[in-house]
Amino acid sequence: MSTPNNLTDASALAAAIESTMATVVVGQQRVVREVLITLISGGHILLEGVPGLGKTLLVRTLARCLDINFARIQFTPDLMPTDVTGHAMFDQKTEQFRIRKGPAFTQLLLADEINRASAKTQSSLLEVMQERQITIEGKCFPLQPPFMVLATQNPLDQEGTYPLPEAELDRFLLKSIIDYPEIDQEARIVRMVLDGTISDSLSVEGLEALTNAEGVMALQKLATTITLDEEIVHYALRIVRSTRSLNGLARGAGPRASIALCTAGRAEALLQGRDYVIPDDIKSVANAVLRHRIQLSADAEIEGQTAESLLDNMLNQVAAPRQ
Amino acid sequence: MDIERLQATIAPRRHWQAMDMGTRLYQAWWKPITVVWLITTAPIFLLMLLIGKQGSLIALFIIFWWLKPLWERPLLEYYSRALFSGPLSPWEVLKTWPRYGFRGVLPFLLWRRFDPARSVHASIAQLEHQRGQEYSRRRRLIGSGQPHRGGLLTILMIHIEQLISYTLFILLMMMLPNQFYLDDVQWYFQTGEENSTLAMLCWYAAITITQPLYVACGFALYLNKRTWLEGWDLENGLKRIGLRRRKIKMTPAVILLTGFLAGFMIPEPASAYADQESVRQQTLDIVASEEFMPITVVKRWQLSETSPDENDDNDSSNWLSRFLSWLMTSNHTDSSTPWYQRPEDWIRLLLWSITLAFLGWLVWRYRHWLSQINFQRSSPPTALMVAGLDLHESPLPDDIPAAIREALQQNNVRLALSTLYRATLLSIHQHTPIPPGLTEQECLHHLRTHYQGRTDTQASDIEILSQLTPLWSRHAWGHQPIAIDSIEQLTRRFENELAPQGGVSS
Repeated sequence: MSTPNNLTDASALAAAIESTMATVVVGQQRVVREVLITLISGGHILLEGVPGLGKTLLVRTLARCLDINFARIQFTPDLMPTDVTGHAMFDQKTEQFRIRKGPAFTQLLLADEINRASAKTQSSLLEVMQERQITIEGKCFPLQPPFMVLATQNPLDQEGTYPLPEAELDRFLLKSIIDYPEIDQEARIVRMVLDGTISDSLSVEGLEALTNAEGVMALQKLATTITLDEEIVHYALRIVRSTRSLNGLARGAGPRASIALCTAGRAEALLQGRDYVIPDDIKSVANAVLRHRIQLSADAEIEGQTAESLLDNMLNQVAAPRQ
Repeated sequence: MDIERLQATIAPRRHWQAMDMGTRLYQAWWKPITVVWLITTAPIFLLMLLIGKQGSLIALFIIFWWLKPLWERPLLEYYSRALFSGPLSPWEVLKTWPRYGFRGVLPFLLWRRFDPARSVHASIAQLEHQRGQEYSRRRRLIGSGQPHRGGLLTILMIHIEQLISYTLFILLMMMLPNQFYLDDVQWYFQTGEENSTLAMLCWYAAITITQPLYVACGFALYLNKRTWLEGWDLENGLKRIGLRRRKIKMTPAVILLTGFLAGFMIPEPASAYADQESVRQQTLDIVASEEFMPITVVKRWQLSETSPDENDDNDSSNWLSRFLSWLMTSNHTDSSTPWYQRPEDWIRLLLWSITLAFLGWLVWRYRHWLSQINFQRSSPPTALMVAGLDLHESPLPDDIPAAIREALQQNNVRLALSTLYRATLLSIHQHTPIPPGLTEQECLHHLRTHYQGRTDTQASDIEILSQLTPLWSRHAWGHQPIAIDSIEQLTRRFENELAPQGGVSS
């Protein structure tokens, strides 16, 4: 386990984590990259994909590589906020109230199928995700850093699901779409699962931890030192502001998107082994940063357009900085 | 059956059309037919209800249901007599009940009770008075072709009957107070209670509607089959022709008189040609006559295709064009009279003033809206934005290598690199358009894809850009120092390889 001291070490460590994860999570290179961008940026990620594409495996692999605390909550319609954050209970032995901490008191939190819980329970994560603290009975409990929420949702099921509120969506740094792997990658997954195991899923037991909580925090700290030119910031702002006047969108992205775009751009530069951000870094993460922060107009939805296609068209129109 | 007195147009029809005709028969005579039904069945039904209250109601219900062929007899009698001799009162049918009511009904109450085509076959027995082998032969004949239509009619009517019955029952239940509410299904099928009476009343109301309809449709199917078999429509048509011929039948005296007159009045043929001409003219007259080819006048709208020459000057549709023409031109011939002494010019001036004032008011009224319209034509991307470069805001110098060297002398590396990078992009853009949204790496990828497999001199563009892009990115975005030599070297290559190809013009 290593703790990076400079950007070169940080890039090497990030590349090592990425390659290790890619050996288990086959065929999802872009998703693995976006999870690491979120981790380095100190944000949270929303993973969307149909069941069986390795969302949970991805999170387990990440937790194994990082050697940090990991907890999972299966969101259900009857889940209560206190089931997530914790609550005060009366201890009959001591005749005093005792705080019983919920599963959110962890470092890597997998909120599985987050849109199955009601808006009330989903909102219990607002404070956790933004303030990184939990208030129980008026008392604040700061979470142990690093803290990251990886939420998953299924795009197919509409019955019995509750769309995430906009305030919560905005708190996710990226929204990553997990798609089906290519045929050769799928064949590799099948071979990996069947060779010498009796389970129907891949095992992460053999993975070694590459770093720990301190290493992750060092990564996050070093990412903030990556050079971000003023022109790049303006490029990011132009992209975000373009969403506010884009035809086909009822609501554009807010200032938090501009911050997220620059932060994620820095993480992308670190993963690319650079100590400065180039316009390509911004553009490559723009879709993942913006797709959950915008709202399609009714006309665009009727025409069958998607947030991704609209954003792609828009990104090709925003002039890249040249001087 | 006297088919000459038929009250309906007889024609060979499809089965569904025949059933439709039966529905129309019911629609035409539903009032007397319902009276016939109620007179013959209602007293018996009510009596059975009264008796059933002290005994088994369900048994009486089955008996009433079993006797349906008997109840159908007056209905069929009414339909047949009304169709062939015109509408009649219910009493006329009921008075003759003993004559048709029981004759041949026994088989329909015994072994023919479950005949699915009972409604069709009842006419054979009741109207044709066929019995035994003769009945069977006629039934086979009537049922030939598509024999299951009567059965389908029965199944359809059973469903309609049940549907109306349940609907009425549920409607009544919904209107009952809550304290009488019971489980509906259990209530309907429970026997021996008041609810059974209610259910039976609903069923009777339903068959009051469906039974006359069922008989009418079956009768129409029977008639249709006979029309197909016996050509009733042809017979009627031939009879009409015969009637028409009888009206114009000439007596022998008339024939003699006609011949006598014809001998005096018919002129001699002038020639063969003239004869042909007259025959031809007669033929044309006959063809053009309305008897041979009746003219139907159809009025519809269509676009006017008349030429301006054909337009009538007085046509009211041209008033606007004539008015505008008058307003625009002053074609008076008397030049000696000043304009202000001519009233028409005053009117013209007044109208122009009103028009201009109205236009001015419109501009003032919508000034905020008009101010938002950009009247300038949007420039094409190649004019102002070239490969993402805004050449109006920051135009390239005329002598690019000199400007780069001057910037390097002033130690302004960023300006030198920016100028070189932009000039290179602009040079490439002149023969390979670069979209404005492409980043540095995307530009390289775009050009590599475009130049794939080419070895001409344009390939040197991408080589210069490939070397320049990392230098530019590292210095511009990474704020890292760059060797001056590498910039000078790329400037020389730009000067030698790109500028002579047509130069860079902004």
